[in-house]
Amino acid sequence: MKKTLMLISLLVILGCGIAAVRHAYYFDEVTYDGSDTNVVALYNDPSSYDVSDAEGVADVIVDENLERTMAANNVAAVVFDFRGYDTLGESFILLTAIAGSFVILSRSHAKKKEGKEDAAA
Amino acid sequence: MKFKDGIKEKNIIVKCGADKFLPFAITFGLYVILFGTVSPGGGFQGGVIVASAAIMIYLGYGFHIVSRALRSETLRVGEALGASLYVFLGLLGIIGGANFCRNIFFDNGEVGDLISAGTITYMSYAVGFKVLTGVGFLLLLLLGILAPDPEPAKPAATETKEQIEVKETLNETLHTEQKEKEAVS
Amino acid sequence: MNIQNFPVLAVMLLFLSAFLVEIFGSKIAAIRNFITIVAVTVSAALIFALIPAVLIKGEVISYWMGNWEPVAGYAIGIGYEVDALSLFFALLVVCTFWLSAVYSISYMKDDHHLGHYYTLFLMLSGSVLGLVLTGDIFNMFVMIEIMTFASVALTAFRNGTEGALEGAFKYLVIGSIGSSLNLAGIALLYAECHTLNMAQLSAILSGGLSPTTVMAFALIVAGFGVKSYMVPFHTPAADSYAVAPTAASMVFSGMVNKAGVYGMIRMVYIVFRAMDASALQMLLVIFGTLTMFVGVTMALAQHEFKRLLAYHSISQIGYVIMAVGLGSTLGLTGGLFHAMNHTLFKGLLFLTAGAVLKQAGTTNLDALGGLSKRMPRTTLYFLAGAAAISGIPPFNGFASKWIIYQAAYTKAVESGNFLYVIVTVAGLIVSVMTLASFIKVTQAVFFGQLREEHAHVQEPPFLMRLPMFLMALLCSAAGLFYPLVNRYLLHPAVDATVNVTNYIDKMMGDGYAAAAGVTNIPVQEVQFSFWDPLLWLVLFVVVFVAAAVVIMAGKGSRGRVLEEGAVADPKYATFFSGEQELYSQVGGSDLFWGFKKNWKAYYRVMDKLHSGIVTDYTNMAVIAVGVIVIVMFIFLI
Repeated sequence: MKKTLMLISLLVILGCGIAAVRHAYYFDEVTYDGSDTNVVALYNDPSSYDVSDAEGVADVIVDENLERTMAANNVAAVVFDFRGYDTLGESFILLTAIAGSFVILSRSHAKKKEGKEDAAA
Repeated sequence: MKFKDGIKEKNIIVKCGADKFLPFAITFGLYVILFGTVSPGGGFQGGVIVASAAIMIYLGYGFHIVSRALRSETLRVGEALGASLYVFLGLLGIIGGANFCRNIFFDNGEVGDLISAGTITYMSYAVGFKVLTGVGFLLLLLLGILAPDPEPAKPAATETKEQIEVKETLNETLHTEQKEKEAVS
Repeated sequence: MNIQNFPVLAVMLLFLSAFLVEIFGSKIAAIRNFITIVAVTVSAALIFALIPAVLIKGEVISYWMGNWEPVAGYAIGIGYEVDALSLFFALLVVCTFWLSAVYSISYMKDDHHLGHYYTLFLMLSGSVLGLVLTGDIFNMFVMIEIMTFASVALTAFRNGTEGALEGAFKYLVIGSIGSSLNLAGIALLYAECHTLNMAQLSAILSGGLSPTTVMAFALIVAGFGVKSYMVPFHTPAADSYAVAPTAASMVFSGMVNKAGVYGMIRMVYIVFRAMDASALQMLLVIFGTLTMFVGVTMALAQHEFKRLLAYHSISQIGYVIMAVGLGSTLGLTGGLFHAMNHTLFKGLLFLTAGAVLKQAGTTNLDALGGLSKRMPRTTLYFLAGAAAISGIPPFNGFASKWIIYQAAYTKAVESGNFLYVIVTVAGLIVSVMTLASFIKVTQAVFFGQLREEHAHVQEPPFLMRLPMFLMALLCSAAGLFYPLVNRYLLHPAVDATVNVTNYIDKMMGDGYAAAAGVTNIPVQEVQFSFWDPLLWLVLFVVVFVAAAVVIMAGKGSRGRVLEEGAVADPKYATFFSGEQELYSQVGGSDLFWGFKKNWKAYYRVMDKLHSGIVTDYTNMAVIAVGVIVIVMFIFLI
């Protein structure tokens, strides 16, 4: 009984999710279409990138990047400068997870030490 | 299986492979961290590559060598130091008069140099150091659960077959001599 | 150092002190305690310094990280926006963490690995403070992740006690499901609106909801529902509050589920602004009522002190969700007031439970009794907390529950829907059952006969008594002076919640909201019905004196103790199964066995649902998410 209910609700979530994604795919405009950029020319001369009609956050960030951050790697500029506070938060998550796993696993360390002492004695 | 100082040694091919790949992994990882602003990569990615050194030492040498080589206390303190360094770099913005996490000296080099984009490179180094020590500590912790107990040191040489036969015949003659003596007395 | 920097500095100071404790404080206790207390105090001072600007003058502090102002109408950086609602919750956060830090200095003295405890505690405090102050939706998610991991690790801290790792595992599974739902919602929202700033999202979404945003809304509400322990997601709460160290339990039940409530209020009232859809109101009200009812009936059947308090915590959060879901400003006032009061009185109750655990060594209701003779002050604080939670005047629980009943009744009269009548009656019945449950606990733990093995317990040390005293004082003050609380704390917060235009304009520049076509919900005047707290105080004192006279005129002890070597009188054989016991006690922990016997069918169903297997709990969570999604899709498109 519980399993059939769960299967029905999973199918409902899947159906609604497909409707949502379909709407986002067909009715929303794409903000950045990179199919006609020449990557080699762009690498040789970064300031030749044509950003005359910027719209949407992604376009704005690409537009503002070189003159405001002077970083060649735009991804690093977004990760460490535009949204640097979130990267700070992510590194805190890593630290909390590691401290937490030390706390959880310290019992098995203590048990192994006791086991070794008992075996040696 | 060979024993040296009572610790089981690993296979010679794996040990040689670990020896050869370890400096390459560390150097490549440090390269990815250092050149984070000019080529793909950055702090997180490079830090994890360097932290794979712990696994390489473990594969080649076993847990007891790796727990002697990398001390967990140092790694733990290093992780907290890296995180504090990142927060301090963020606070530079407030000290310089602007808001938090502000890139106050972003024009300290040309586009494409190694030291170019102000606090971005330094934050990348701080995150790389933090991930390096943190993931290394985590790997040590998890490998410590898998660590087998050291075998007790066995006597050096094993006996060959002829020596065993000689010992057995000697024992037999001793037994028969003892029985004859008892039968006599 | 102007006042705009203070929110970030408060959050970063807590995180930085966590790292300092990890570097310097693993061996010496004095350094650890010093760093913790200094960090929490300075952080609290920074947040309190914001009160004149934000709560009294009504400004909104909007702060962009890295000075990335919006460009061409799009927000490209992360913003902090501190308005009255955020500051209301931030004040609660810093007060709770200050009291818990002072308590845990002397409570956790005998444990190992205390450096890690304080690191995780400070990370938890920084993350909850960062969550309520931020104005960016992905930053909220990052803070929720820190909060989840720190809570799991603190739950499993005493991993030698039975059930600690198991409780942490259940919490981890259900908490991760909540975070994933939240993240999926945020991803869908970004795909539709191309921005992550809550003020800008609010302006963009004023043009109506499309299938993508409705799905995002459903997933985000489900995600915050998991964090605030609404009913099918409430299952890990009982296990994890019972096995965590009590100083951490107090913070979990006090602040971590308020973070879920804050997120829900932010999403529903400000970002999506769907509160005037009656289907959404009914959904939240039904979930809230179910939570209230399930929480209190499960609490009546518990035999362990902290599990019982955990179920009561779930039930009171049901009150808050029900009040928030009513959709009127009176309901919102009642909900926020009850959230504040719940932090205060539930924290007080958990602190007394911790004192009992530390001094007497057990929290099993069948094994305790008569502790009021040895710990009189703890008993007094516990009685204050129990009276507050049951809704007895003049404590604060009465004032907030009165507003909630009034809001539900007004809604029933205005909309003519029979559901709200049932909701009002259910609120009253749950309040009565809460009172019954706390009478049982008081009798079982504090009154009754003192056991032999507890004949030498002492009062807890001063650092444990001080937070209890302060919280009892705040409970009484909030109840007696509630017009002041309303004028300075609640009214600005409710104003800020319904005044969305102000929120958007302060963040994105003036005139942005009007250009996007945002209109405000009209604010109703909040009127309390007339009652005078001083008269109620006098009545309460008179009744209390009468009851004390009656109790003291009765017998001192309730049973007889046989002397050594005496033979048991056979006329007592029926009560004690004919065994020779030198010292027997008939405890009060099963005072309502008649109620449980009559509701046997209900409790059998509840027993099967709360089986303790994680896969069952996950099934229930998925079914609830499916229900929320389909209801929103049918009614909101």
